[in-house]
Amino acid sequence: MTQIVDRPDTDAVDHHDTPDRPRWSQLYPELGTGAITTDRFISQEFFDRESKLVFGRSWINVGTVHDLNGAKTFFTRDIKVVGVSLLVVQDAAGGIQAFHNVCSHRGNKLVWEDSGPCPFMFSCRFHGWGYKHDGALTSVPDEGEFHFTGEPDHPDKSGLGLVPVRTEVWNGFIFVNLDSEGTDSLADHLGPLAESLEGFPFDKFELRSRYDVQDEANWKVIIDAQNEIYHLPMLAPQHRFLGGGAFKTNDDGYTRLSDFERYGWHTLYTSDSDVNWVDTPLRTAMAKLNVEADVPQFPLRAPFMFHVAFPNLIIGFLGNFMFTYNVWPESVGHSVWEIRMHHPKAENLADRVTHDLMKVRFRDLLCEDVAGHAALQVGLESRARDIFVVGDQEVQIRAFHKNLDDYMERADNE
Amino acid sequence: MRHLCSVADLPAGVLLTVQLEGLPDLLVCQVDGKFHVVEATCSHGAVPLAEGRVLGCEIECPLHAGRFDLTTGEATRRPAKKAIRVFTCVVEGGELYLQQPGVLVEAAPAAHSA
Repeated sequence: MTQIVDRPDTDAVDHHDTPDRPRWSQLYPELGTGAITTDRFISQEFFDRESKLVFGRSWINVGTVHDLNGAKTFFTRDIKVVGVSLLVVQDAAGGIQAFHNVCSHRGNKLVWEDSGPCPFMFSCRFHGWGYKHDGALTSVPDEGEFHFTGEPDHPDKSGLGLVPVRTEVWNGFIFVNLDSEGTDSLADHLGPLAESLEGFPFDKFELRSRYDVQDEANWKVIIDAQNEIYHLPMLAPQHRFLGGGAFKTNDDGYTRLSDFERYGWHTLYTSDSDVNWVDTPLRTAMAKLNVEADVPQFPLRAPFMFHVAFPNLIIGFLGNFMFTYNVWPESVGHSVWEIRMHHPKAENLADRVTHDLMKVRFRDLLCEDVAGHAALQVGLESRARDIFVVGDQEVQIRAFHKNLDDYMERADNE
Repeated sequence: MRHLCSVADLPAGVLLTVQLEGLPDLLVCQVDGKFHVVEATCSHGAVPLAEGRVLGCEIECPLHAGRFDLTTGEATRRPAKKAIRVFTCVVEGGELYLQQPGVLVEAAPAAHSA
């Protein structure tokens, strides 16, 4: 990966509307200014490479501690792009470990529930083989009929536990790596992104809502569409309205990134707020009733921050609201957009109402995006054009695609 | 005073573009019996507002649906942000005239609302 060590401090530059402001393409010359190919969004071959070289090898966020309920609880996660089902277990001591959710007997999917308290043992529905919470096989009905000799093709019970998957937890985000031969740690992978968020009080957030959206678009269409704010003032009514609120625009009404950073494989962009924005009467009234809700509670360097944790996790902040996206490829033109909304713990009814207001506002906004994703995929699949262009205010998209290319090239060469 | 058009040519719903030397193109229209003269080009997309539509006392740009208050010139809906200029006019003998010097409002970018 290209490292530009003498890049100016992008955070110290006013990127808004000065005529002589540095262009992002000048600050990030390694990203170039050329077009992006359509093929990468519609090609089965490209999708297969992503599956093998990215999702099969990278650290993937499969959930958070909010999916568990403390010790001796579990959740399952099917990852269609790599064709696996995982069982993620928090043991009695609090440790979190993922296993292939597959019984060692005949390969049945072991646990069919989404989540819950761990049973006494995870018992296969097919023939009742039972596994402890650490994955060890402890119960085999009619065991005497099997040939557990310990020879290579006759493994004994100790060799027939659930197959563990490399698992690490970062600030409550649970990651797995399906490359059993890989050696890079999650810390290696997150690198400067994790450093930029070191000490951030993620534990102050509660998960308040989740949407799993069936999205008729390639996974990168979804990430790209979210990974810029150029579209905000124009896409649709909710976007127009909020585009003038969370997002500062220049005098011509165009959004301007406050900052953009490359953090290893990952990126961050930020935006300031528009000081002239007038919120809806309801939200304005709520703000007066619940002044505390708008007092910044978190050490954020901008009112809006959008982290893309490669490959498919987004961690965003909008004031005291944190949202995450997991964009799950399922096929070339279909993905699941998993949206989670987090707030600080509600102290009173006014907090709850404020949070719910944010929930419906954000949900309605994202509904406009979903329609846009499907329209983008239709256009790309038409092959009307082999390429499309992106501007300097979409520098994040260039970075994402370069990271993707670099990641696959590195994997190809290993 | 400079002649803009006949009142008879400006029923409600008609959007006229008038060119006068030394001035930007002007959009002339009538809403509820009141005549409005504003800059004819959207401050955002630089397209003729006469191709748009009047909604209440606002003109909506045909390209990105930004809106402007015909009375104040204020941009009332994104993506429009900069105000357009508003000019004063007067009716005499069934004819509409631009008053001189004419500029009623040179508004700063205004607060935004839904």
